[in-house]
Amino acid sequence: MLVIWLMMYTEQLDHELSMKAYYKGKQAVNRGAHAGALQLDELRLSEGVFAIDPEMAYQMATEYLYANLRLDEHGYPTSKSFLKEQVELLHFEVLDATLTYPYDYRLSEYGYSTTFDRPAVVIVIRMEYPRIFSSNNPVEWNIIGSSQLVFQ
Amino acid sequence: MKQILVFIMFSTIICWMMFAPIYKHVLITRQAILQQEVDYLLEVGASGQYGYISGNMIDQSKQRLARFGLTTGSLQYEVSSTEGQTFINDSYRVSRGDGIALSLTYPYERLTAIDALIGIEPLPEGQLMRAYGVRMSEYVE
Repeated sequence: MLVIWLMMYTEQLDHELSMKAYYKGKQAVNRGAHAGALQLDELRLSEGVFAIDPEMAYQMATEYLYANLRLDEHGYPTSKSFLKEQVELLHFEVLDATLTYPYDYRLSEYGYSTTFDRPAVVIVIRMEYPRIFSSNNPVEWNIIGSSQLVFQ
Repeated sequence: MKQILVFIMFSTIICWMMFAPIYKHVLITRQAILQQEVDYLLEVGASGQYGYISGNMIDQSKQRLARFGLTTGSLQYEVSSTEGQTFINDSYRVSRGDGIALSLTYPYERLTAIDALIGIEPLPEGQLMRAYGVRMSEYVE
């Protein structure tokens, strides 16, 4: 009775906390993609093309992604982070302005597909949830997020 | 004598068993509410229309959180920009390219005090739960 109850208790705690951890990860990915998508390529803008500068986008996207999860610049957790393991950046892609929009984007490796109306940034990370009770199964996710070019 | 000791031991364990999950659930939910509020404020504040999180927005946010039973006086908001700008309001906006960082803290109160029943040290008084986020501003002058 006590054992069954304890199992339920530990399961509930880790279950609830992992859900919250997933949301935090997703928000971080979204904000990273958003920061990346704000990086207009000014040189090409002068030619009348709205495009994303891939280098700046990568720099800003990782900066915001890691800052939101309180990681250092290599994706390792700092003391303020709730994570214990490195966050891996599995996929980073900037969609160029030369594609025809609306563009049907497909990333079959991670089972992701969407339609973009403008140049966009796509990010996939792998994040491991630091479980409290080692009796529970390990949890890790591939978190996918994207953002389109922002302009007014 | 032995029976009394067994009774006391069992009653404390049963008391902990019955109420500890509820306290933990409240703790996790509060943390989630704080995080949700931070996400919302950043979403609105970093949008192209605002580019700031003002005292007025924070007051409204406190009202929202009060509906979940949080004490508004204990909520601490820290707004800053990634460029080190600390005055952020409608006349000092954060422009596109810089980020707005928001940190929201609330005390744990005595939510973990019940763990003392089974010999786990509760969190020290005054320790804060913290929700944090940083988002790039879209505001263009």
